[in-house]
Amino acid sequence: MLTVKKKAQFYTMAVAIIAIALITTSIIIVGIRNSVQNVEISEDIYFVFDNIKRETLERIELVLANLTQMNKTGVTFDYLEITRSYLDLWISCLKNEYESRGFKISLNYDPSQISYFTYWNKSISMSALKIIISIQIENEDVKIKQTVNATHVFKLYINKIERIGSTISVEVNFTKIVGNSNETSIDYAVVYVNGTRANYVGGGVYRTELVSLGPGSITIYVAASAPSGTFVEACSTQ
Amino acid sequence: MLLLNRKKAQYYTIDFIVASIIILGVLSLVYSQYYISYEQDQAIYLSNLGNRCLNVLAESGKLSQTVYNEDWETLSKLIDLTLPSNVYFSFYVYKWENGNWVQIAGPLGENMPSSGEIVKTTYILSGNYTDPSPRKIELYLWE
Repeated sequence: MLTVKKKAQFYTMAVAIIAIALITTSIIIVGIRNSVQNVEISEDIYFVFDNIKRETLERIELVLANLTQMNKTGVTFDYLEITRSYLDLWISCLKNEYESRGFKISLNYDPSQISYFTYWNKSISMSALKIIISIQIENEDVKIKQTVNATHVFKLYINKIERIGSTISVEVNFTKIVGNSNETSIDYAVVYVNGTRANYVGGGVYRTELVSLGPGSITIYVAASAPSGTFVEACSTQ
Repeated sequence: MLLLNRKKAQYYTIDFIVASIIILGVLSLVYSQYYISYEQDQAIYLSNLGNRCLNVLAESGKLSQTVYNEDWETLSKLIDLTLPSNVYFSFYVYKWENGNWVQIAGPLGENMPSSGEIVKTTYILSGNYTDPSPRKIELYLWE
């Protein structure tokens, strides 16, 4: 009788211990889950560097778009002053952002190496801005440094005007050369020929057909715009 | 005889308790390691997704276009199209003004859950012809 009682006590204790073990395990698991809710992962420094480089080149394109536009409207301006103010604001913004995210960042340029030139011919419209900018970013493990020769060029010209019967075929070339990679970005430009939107046929070439109003000369007026606000114009009389 | 049995039972009980503690300790350790690495993998996966999504939109020019036009509906749709269907998002947009980021939109997208793993990715836009002030988009992702 006593043995049966002991056995019962033993089993009761075993069940109690198992229950305590399960409860403790659950508490530990919940504790672990709660403690690791804010998992720290380090940011991909290569991704950050690529973004900074791409957007810095975009910023330089924006400067060129503004200078081109001011040039076209005939406003007198100091291109160096404008370029510096655009770049300095951009650099302070990047520094503020990335230093708050634990990166060491440095962007430098030499103002004496900034150059801007334009070539306005009757049928060719070209403007270029050259800036050499050094970009450096580092975290605890990696340091990336690159000197970017950011030469941006916008070039628009009337390639060909052909009279075929009662139509005039006009071919225009608009290219936007970005940065030091000679990467030609032509995909988002919108080109108008005498108010008619031209079709993009590839390789920076746009084509449209106008209706001829009879013999005599015709003035072809071309305007190109890109999202950055590049408004360049050219005209030709045939 | 009875005394011997009682001793045996005590030994078994102590054995059982010690074994339980060891098993419990090992299981907790294994679980915690597995769980932390699982959470980190998930966070890295979401972070990569967010980075890729913002990169794709930036490279196509759509990010700049929608942010500077303040077309949040189109931007939400584009982000939604870029992400897998089981990943949810919310985003904020800031404008650089007088040396500080000022929030101009957000939270947009889904309602952010109060608990669970949420990953943030950021992209800075350099300006637009109509507004040369930089913009920042913070994209929050979760599953």
